[in-house]
Amino acid sequence: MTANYILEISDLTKSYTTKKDKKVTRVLQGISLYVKKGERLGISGSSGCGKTTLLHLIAGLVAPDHGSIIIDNTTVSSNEVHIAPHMRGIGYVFQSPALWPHMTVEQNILYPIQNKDVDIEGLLDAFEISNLMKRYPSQISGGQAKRVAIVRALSASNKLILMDEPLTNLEKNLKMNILQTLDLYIKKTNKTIVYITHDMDELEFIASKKYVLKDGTLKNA
Amino acid sequence: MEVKRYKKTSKKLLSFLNWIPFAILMIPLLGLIYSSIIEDGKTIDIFSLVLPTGRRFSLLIRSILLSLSVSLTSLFIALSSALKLYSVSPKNKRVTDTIWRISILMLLLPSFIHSQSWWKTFGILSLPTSGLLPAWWVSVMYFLPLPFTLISLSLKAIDKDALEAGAVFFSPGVALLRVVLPSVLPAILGGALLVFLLSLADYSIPSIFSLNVYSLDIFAQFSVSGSVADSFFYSLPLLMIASVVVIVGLNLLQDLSLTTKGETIRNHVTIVLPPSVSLLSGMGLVISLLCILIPSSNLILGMFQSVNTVETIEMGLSELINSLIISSGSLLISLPLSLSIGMQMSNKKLSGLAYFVLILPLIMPASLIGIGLIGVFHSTYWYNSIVMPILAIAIRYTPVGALLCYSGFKGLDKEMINASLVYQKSTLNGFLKILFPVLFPIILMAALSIFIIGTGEIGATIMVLPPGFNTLSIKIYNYLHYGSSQVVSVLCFMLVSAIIIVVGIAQLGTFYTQKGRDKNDS
Repeated sequence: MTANYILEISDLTKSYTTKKDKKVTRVLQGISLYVKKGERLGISGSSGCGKTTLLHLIAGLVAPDHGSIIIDNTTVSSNEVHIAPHMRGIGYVFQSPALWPHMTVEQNILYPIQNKDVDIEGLLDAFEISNLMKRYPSQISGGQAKRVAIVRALSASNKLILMDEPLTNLEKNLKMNILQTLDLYIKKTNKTIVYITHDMDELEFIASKKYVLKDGTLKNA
Repeated sequence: MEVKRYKKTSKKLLSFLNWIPFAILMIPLLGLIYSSIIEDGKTIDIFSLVLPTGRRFSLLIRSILLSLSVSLTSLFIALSSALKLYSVSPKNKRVTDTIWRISILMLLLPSFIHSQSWWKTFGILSLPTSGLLPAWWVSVMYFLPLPFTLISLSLKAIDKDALEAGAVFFSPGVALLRVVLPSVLPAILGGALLVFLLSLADYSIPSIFSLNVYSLDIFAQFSVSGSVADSFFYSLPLLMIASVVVIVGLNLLQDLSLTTKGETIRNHVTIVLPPSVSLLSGMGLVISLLCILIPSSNLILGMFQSVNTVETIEMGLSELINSLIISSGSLLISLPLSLSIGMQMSNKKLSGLAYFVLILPLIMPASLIGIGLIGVFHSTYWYNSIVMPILAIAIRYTPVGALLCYSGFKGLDKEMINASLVYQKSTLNGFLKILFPVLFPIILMAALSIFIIGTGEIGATIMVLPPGFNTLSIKIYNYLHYGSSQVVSVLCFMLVSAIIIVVGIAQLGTFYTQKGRDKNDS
């Protein structure tokens, strides 16, 4: 593959075996996917179709049964190689804010940053969380926590941001407001994102390329 | 860039390491089996030991009936008082929270403090101070906080929507039967089983009230014969009954636990009770409060009534230091084992056999743990050293630590842990900066519980203490047999004070590490 791609997934397969009846469920079946730098890939699908598993595989939280994942020209997962999640240089927004409760908002955002050139001030202002920096996660609202989680992911990586239903359970206006801010910021910084949601309006707004995950395979939306 | 390769050998090594805690928990049982095989010098009549007849059969039946009645009574009181506690208005949340917290602390109070308090109370009320009645009642009071805590936790985690739907569609009585009670059924069953098993294995309370039970007879049998093998075969009927109860109970709980999956524990729920149930549960709550008030008032009064307080404190000081050394040592062994097992449980990696091994030290009569250790170490350098009581307490209470760690880990947001894996600077840095502070309250809770229960341990320690070495709890236990209530009160007060100081120091530590993070939590 050419160096144009920031994410290259080839023939990715993952199955789970239930402990009780030893039944094997093949969640992903030979998925191949290529994402260029600056591209905004949106994936939708019904609950339990394997969307989160796909992101876990890209992040290295789970090892694939078969296939390979290349991030920024480095093989991070294959039959022989598995690079630890923190060495993949990615940002990740989980379904829950997943903020560390013993750290302030500021510490939550600053801890993962490895690239000193990140415009933190700009990000904080854009997402309207500058005034929350000294607070603990238990002292902010759910919507604010989601914005902090997004800022943490955006500031942590220049390569690839994975977003797993980052705006679920948010009120419609607030969701739209965050989406617009995110859209503007991504356009400005040319970041690459893989965005997962089951909300088609959200997908329509944010993604430049859309897929549906069904029966373990990706289909064009 | 560092590349980590998953190798089959490393996976095998990891699963081998995971089994080490379970192997340690098995030491007493393996010691019993090993000694039974190699013990020579006399012929053992296995059948007469394994099959109880005559006096032993009556003793076994008495033990089962006593444990059953203790289990059912404590369950009934626990359920009714927990229902009453969570049927009051949220305005009284502080009162309910205080009762709830004290009842958790009562879980850690040694049995001999209950025994001594109720022995005096029964004396004042002119009730019998020996035999079945006081032994049954004190056992109920001692075990009561366990089902109460389990049922309260379950009530706090009840599905709020289901509760509201029940209140809309049914009368309070029907809602209680159809919504509330089925939701807390796993806790009811789990509490009843645990109390039954613990009561069956306990001899410390019956022995103080001169009531012979099967587990006490095992202790007496070993004291007479000194034979590990005899004691093992002698204890088999009790172990078999406990094992059957555990296997049946675990299967039942596995099916029932599906109903409460995924619920979160809240600060307060309000359950509407029909008037008749409300009255009954009010009485249950009063009895539960007695379980707190009688021991605590007795401790304070006894302390002030004592005429030789300073001399008694001086007399018990070296034993207190011994107790603290032994419980600290056992904590050092037990905590890593508890953490490892707790993590494996939360990752759902345990087999049915592993669960059985985990619960084994709890269902084995405490004396048998000591006898098993004697069987393993009697010809080694460790025998007659403090390693023996340290190991005995560590093995006996690791299941408690493991279950506490498991419940703590289960409540953690898995995505928060995943976030640390994605964002950590290195594995060590991530552990020190994120994982350890997040896990610290859970580790501290488990450590304190193991330490406190270990400080009051008698059953296993008494079998393996080195000559000339005594712990404060065993000193109190011995004095209780002589009926020396003033000395006992002062020594109990001393033990509780030492525990409170340790808990206080730990609370200070928690205050500084958790500063700010729990504000506005509601």
